[in-house]
Amino acid sequence: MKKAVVIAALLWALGFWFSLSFGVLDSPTPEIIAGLRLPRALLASAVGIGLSIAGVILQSLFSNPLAEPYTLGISSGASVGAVLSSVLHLSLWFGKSASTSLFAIVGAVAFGLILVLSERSRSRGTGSGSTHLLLTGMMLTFLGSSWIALMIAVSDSDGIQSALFWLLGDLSRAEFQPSLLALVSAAAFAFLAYRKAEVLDLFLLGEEAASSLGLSVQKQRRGLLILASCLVALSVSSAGMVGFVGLMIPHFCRRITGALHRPLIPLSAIVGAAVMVWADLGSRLIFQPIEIPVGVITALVGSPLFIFLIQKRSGVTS
Amino acid sequence: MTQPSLEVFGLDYFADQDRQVLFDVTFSLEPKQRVALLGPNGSGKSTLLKRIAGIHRSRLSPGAQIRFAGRLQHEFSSMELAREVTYVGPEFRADFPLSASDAVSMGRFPHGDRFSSETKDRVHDAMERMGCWKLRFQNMNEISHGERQRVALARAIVQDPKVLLLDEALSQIDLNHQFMLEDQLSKWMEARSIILVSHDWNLSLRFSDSVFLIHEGKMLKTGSAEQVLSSEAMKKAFPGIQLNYSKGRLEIDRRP
Repeated sequence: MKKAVVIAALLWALGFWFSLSFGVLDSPTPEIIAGLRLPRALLASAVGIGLSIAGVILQSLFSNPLAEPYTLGISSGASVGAVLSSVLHLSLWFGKSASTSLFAIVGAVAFGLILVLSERSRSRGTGSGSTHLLLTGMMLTFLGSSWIALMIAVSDSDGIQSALFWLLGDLSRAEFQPSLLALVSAAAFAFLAYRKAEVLDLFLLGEEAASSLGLSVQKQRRGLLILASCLVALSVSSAGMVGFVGLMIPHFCRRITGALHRPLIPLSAIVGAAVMVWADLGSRLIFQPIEIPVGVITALVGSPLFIFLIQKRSGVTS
Repeated sequence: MTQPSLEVFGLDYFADQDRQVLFDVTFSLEPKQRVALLGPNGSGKSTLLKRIAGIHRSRLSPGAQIRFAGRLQHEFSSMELAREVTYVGPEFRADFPLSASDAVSMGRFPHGDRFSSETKDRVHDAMERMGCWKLRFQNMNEISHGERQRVALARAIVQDPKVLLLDEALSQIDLNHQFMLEDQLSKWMEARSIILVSHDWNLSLRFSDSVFLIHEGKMLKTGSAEQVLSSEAMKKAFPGIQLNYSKGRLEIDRRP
């Protein structure tokens, strides 16, 4: 496990260094490195940490290995909030980006609560009805996407471009200060999740068992859902909806650490950061000089994995 | 007289606003007592056990009480309650690569010493007793239903409650292991009490020293196996069957 953390950290550092060194220009000016490439690498790391830790939390919370911010529609909720704030040109207290983040958090929490409520009304207990959860999540994603499209169409900011940004996920809008802030907050939230590792372990057994082990399920679930929503909102408000990172990273890391959260959370955070930095590098360099949104790459890899996991799971449960 | 380990008085429970599942349920459970809780499907057996264990939460109607060793249930924190009582249901699963021994060690959560070295010994002992020590490195999503039930029982033993509620928790276990588990649970019990729900009446009667009968959410009869099985209440709850119970042997037939 320690070895895995070290290797992942090295890969991250390497990816970070490559991100600064390679790009469309072969001999970039220091301004390009500091003003364009560094913020992107920072933001990629923040998004990687945010989405993978949110994925870990959501999978355990719903005791469902297919849960993640994107498939559950929580990213969509965050995106709706962020778009709403930007089309209304809101700038509360700390200015525009703070209000975008705040709205994204509210949107993510709201969609998360819809999920929890619909889960509750379906059954009191086991949390094994993955079809129900995932279908609700998918519909929330559709709903969110149509709201986003509607808001953008009506407000005509820069139309298609902006819609693509929110719906597919893109790191090209990164700026230094917000990106650094995002990375620091992602790390802080990940640490909070780590502090909750023992509680998350209990959720793996489902709500009923967790409750008979003395966990105040409702209270803990609410807290963890808000934590996950904050992690998602922080990623989405600065990079749009990058999908499947929260699905892939936790699954990959569990193969190394097992399902207990004390080792899983730190490894997922570092692997998440590393993967996103490399994915961003790929999105900039593969089709040079054309840049593709990073969300396209993660979805290209992630959605087949999702289908594979559904197959495997239906084999186990039947 | 010893303090009952569990007293339930006048318990009502509503699943929804207009769907009442339990009606004025009253009983008490002594230390060392083993109760077989009988009742048809949908009679409220699981609901009763889950309400007692604090999994279902509801405001008690005026005058109603649930007490553990004399203390009211709502005065316990959820961790304290989990040291007093635990519920083992028919299904214990995790769709993740969680090893059986890690699942068992979670039983120490309410005691706050899940990662201590004593816990390792407790886990070993409990898994040995429940015949699942050889599964310790296996993942919960790779073992069979019956094996998971044995892991669930080991988890409950590690949790060390005073009242153990078993809801079809032995139902998927092969007969060989079932006999072994009954013996092991009997040895483990000491002053603890157990309520067992099972549709396998041979198992229920073999394991218990008294029988409770619940029907349509009402506790119809409590007493010894002879008293309950030969009662009118039993005919009311199970109108389709004819029972003959004497000297610990049960014969069941269709009522002509």
